[in-house]
Amino acid sequence: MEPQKIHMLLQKYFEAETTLGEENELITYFTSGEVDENLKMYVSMFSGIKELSDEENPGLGEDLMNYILESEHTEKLRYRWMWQIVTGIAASVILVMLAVNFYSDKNQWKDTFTDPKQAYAQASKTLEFVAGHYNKGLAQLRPIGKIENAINPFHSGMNTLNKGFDQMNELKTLNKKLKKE
Amino acid sequence: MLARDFKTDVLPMSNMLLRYALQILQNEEEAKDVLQDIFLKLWQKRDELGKVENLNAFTIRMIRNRCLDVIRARRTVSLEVVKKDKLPGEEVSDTDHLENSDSVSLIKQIISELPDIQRTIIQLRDIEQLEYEEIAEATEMNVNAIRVNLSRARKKVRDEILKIQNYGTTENTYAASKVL
Repeated sequence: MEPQKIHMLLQKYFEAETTLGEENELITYFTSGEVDENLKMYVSMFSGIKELSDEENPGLGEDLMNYILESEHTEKLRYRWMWQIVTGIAASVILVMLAVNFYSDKNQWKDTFTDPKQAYAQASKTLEFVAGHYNKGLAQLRPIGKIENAINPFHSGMNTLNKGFDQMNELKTLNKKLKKE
Repeated sequence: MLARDFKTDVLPMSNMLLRYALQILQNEEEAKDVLQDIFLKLWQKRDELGKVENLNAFTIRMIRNRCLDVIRARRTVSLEVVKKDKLPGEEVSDTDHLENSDSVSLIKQIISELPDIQRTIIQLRDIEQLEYEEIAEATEMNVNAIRVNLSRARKKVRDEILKIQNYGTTENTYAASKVL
């Protein structure tokens, strides 16, 4: 390439007016090994830039992909583990509920009669039996009424005594009044 | 996006994104961690990637944001400090500059010493060869500002190279000034 054109491109390059294509032309020229003596001072710059652009980390893409898949696998395992715990707890709760339900079913009242009349007769008989015992119990409590009757005269005596005390108080106040006079 | 498309469209960007992350973080281990995080996110969101207009700019912006998070986590306020925070083996004295004949190391060194914006732009344009519009989308700057910063960055790189490689004879300085 003519040095004159390179000069012009360099001028544009340093003013940031070149296109990517023109910049690549400069790089190609300065890394070609056939550089004009007056322009050799730019060889380091453009060859350095070119080498930096080409600098690659071999296997980087593959390493990244492995990292991604590994992370995803770990994440999945974590979720699976969490899922297992949650489902385990849920299953245990369901089992306990079923067991409780089964047990309560076993102890439920069972119908002993198919004929309602027969059931009514049996229920009446049972209630009569209970009522009989209840009355018997009440009968045993009758002496308590006798105690109450026995206490009544004591109550009336106490009333008379209280009246006497009241009259005494009245006399006391009268006595005080008379003394003052 | 299918897993196959992810492998053909997204994975090939890994080298460019690693170089970019390295340029910001100046630490290979951290840059690789950032890259892994971003690629995992991209993989998990691969179904939505089809809607992204410019994947290059989109991923670069993701890398940049994640790198800035890493820098914040280091409790470093600005990128300038990070730039100076090099590993012991990376310390380069003026004498090393003169002895350093490897153009890649030289360019890397000079670029790493540029201000953050210039460094990012020269990296995205000259090394990653992105269009101005893509850089604008990735950096959220306008194209004019990008051109101004790129011009400054390129001139700085050129001047440093001339200085370091002892091209600064009267003749070469004259030749360089003619280009300007």
